[in-house]
Amino acid sequence: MSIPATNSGGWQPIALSAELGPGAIAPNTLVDANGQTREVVLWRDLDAVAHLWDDRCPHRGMRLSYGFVRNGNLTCLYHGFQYGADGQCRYIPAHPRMEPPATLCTTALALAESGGLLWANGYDTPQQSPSLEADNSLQAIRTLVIRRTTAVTRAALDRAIFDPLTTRAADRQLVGREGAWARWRDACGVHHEVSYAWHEPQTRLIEIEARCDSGSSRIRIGVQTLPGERTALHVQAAAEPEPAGLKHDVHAWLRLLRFHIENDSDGRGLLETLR
Amino acid sequence: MTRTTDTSVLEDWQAIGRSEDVPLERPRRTRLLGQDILVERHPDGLRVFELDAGERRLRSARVQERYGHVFVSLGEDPRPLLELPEFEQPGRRLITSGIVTVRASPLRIVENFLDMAHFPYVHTNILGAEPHTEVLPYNAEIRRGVDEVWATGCQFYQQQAAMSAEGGQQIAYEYRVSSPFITVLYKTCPERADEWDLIGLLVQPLEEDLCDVHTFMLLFDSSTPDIALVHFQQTIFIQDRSILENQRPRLMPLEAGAERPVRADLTSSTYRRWLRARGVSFGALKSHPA
Repeated sequence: MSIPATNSGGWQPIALSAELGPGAIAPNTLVDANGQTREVVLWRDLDAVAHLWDDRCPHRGMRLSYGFVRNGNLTCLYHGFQYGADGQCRYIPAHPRMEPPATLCTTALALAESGGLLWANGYDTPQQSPSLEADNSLQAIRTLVIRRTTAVTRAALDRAIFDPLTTRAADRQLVGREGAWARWRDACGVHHEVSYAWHEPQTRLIEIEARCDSGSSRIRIGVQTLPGERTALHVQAAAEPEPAGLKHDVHAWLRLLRFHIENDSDGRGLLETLR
Repeated sequence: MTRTTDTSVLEDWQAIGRSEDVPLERPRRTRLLGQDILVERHPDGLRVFELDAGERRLRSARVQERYGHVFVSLGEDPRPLLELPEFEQPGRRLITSGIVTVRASPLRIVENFLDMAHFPYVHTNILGAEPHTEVLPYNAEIRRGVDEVWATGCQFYQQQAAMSAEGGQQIAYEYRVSSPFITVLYKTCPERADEWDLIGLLVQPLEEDLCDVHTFMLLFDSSTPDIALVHFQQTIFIQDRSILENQRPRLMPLEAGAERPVRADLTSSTYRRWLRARGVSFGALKSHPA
């Protein structure tokens, strides 16, 4: 386990870096500690720099996440206004020869990119941004939305996530075969040592690491609070030696994990039955 | 919500449907400006009642039938409905295309209708397309006396301005807003060079951010079947809806500086100025005290 302790200062992971390639645009919603929400657009310019702006065009309020990238600029779907990386309007199609006024500018929010994750801090005064060690072995797996609050999700993760017996039993019950996680673990020969830790004060990052003589496996999960009592898990994984179909197996395991969390909000119920 | 207290819009006529939407024996239960209403057709005419939460009839409201539509006012002494003498002209066809429900402020729906600059991006290859994106200078004014907003001298290059249009051409427009939720555009008529085609937008505000939109076309078009005209109009309006439901905030800010107009937005800026002068607050963003 070699992640430096970071003070997240209200930072939350909001997406997997790999899911946002150059020219990609994605809507997102930030939720602060008081439950206040803010609609934002996340996009990456053609120089591979990611940006986080309020999800509205300053001209008429249209959501910029419905737009497209043109000439390297985020372009509003409504009137084709183009905004450069600095948020400044560069081009107004209705007046092709006019220099856009300096007041025509989007609202940018703090964004950091670290450890394969994009981090936002939309409300608090940004403190030191997260700085995780670069780790190219981790693969982006997926973002999984759990229909439970972040507190419930955390508690259920703590109880269920790496209880091998539970997971294996649930696999048999639900899938009717030896499950993905178990196959992965067996492929790595991991039976000896599993460590599991929440990192940083805001507990927005989980690292799970399993080791044995013949190899190791690792999962990194960024936890984001969503509106409507939902939580997003931004998941990366690595295994050494890497089994065939790692991504597929972790996918299958994540679906199972979601089933656990959504049916185990009080810590009993399904898991007790399966034991 | 409940019945609005915005007297400026209570004293206007609002469309609640087409005449054929309220047949005998089939009352229309709907909502206007936050007030539940019941519209009934009797052999001697229409009657409208405001309903309370228990569906009991509280009081009757004013109603009139014109231009193929039913108009209701919840006010005491409504301003006169707009005059459209083109409805008396022989040879015109009236085409209506049904109700489209839109989760948006009625003010944003009208403002979008007054806007040419979005044609190439929202109605691509129909009402416009790149590189013909420029909005040339035009005039907009508040006409005293009638107290209406008019924009004149508008023109835009269009790929298929109407079903009866062939190929791209420079199309002339005039826009008219007669009351906050009723607007008509006058547009080059492909069949008759000396006449306008009319397209009307009758917004029925159900709540501040929810509307039923009724549209009509009053055209000289001797060849296009009704169904093709209806499809044309519905296609355009569904494209608009994808924008209207995604503007933020949903309610329209009327304060200067909240949004950033450019010269092409002269009609919308004039419309907003006129709304402020009328004291319209229904559908507008309420300014928060500091």
